[in-house]
Amino acid sequence: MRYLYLYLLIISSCSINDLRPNSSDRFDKIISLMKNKTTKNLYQSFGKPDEIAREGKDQILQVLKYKKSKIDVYLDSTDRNKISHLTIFFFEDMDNYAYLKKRFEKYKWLETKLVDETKSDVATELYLIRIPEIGMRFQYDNLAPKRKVMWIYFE
Amino acid sequence: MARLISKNLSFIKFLLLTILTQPFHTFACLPHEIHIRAQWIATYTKKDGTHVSAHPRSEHCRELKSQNYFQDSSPTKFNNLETKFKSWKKSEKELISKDIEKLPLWIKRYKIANFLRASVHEGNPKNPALTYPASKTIIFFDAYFTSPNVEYVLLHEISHIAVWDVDALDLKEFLESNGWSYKNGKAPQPSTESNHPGFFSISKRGLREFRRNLLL
Repeated sequence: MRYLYLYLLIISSCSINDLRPNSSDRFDKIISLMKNKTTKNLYQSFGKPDEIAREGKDQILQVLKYKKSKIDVYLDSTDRNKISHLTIFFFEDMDNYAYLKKRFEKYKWLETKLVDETKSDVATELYLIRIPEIGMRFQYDNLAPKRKVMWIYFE
Repeated sequence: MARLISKNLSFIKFLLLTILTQPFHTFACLPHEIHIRAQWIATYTKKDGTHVSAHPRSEHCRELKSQNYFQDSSPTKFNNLETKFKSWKKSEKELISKDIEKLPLWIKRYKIANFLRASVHEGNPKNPALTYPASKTIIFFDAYFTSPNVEYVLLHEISHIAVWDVDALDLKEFLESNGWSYKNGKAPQPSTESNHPGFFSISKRGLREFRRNLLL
């Protein structure tokens, strides 16, 4: 019985959401990768992609997709050894905005309210966040549950 | 000590496995709960006179006080909405209650905090309903009751709430298969006319995927 109490205690303490940056969130690897933007470093950090897709006009853009990491790496159309840009799908079960604000607190955080002129059937309050120092930007909806972000873009 | 560990090895393994497989910062709320952001609570005095000092409140899930509740008015100030709420007619409440019962289980389990009633959505007069996903509120306009497909509208509105609980990878794949992607050098906007789940419309395939993801 005492082990059960111990177990419950540990599990409950593990579920406390303290917004501490987490090494498993992959951002450090991405930031490091986007400094030199080479496929060599990409393969060293993330391994081989699960899928190679083509996008854009005339399917010219090659996209390396890492399913589990939810990362899409867009290769430079003129040099396939270079990365053009990268997206990560960030959709975690917590306040995404609060986590990211804390996660990137050491960088200059630029926030712009986007004008939404469409009167849709769902209420939104959209913002664009930019962190120029690391070429990162994303959009979030202040009225969405947990302010879940979806795509974060690195260039 | 070694004997104790050896005796309970399988339990310890299970314990470690459970801890190690805990997703980081997981904070999933149930369909009858809403997510409350972390906030600073200022000093206040309870009704019974108890003084409560200022303190931080962690992010948490809160059970809805009311579920599928028809309200004739609301003290809440809704973002981007200038409207006057009005009383529900008995027939309208019956219609919506009946439509809720017809919804598939996977979406019927999502409880709505408040159903409100207004005449017209200013700026979008043809709009039958307006959803506020975070507070789980749906406002129904006159257009809803003249809509030829009210069940679909209700399903669509509740899906604006359910979509945020879909598994991340499945949602990503679903959105991409519906034309959402980034273009080189452009701001983070999907390539289609839709640019946010706010404008998300649910196809038959979407419904199938939602059912699968919501485990019903």
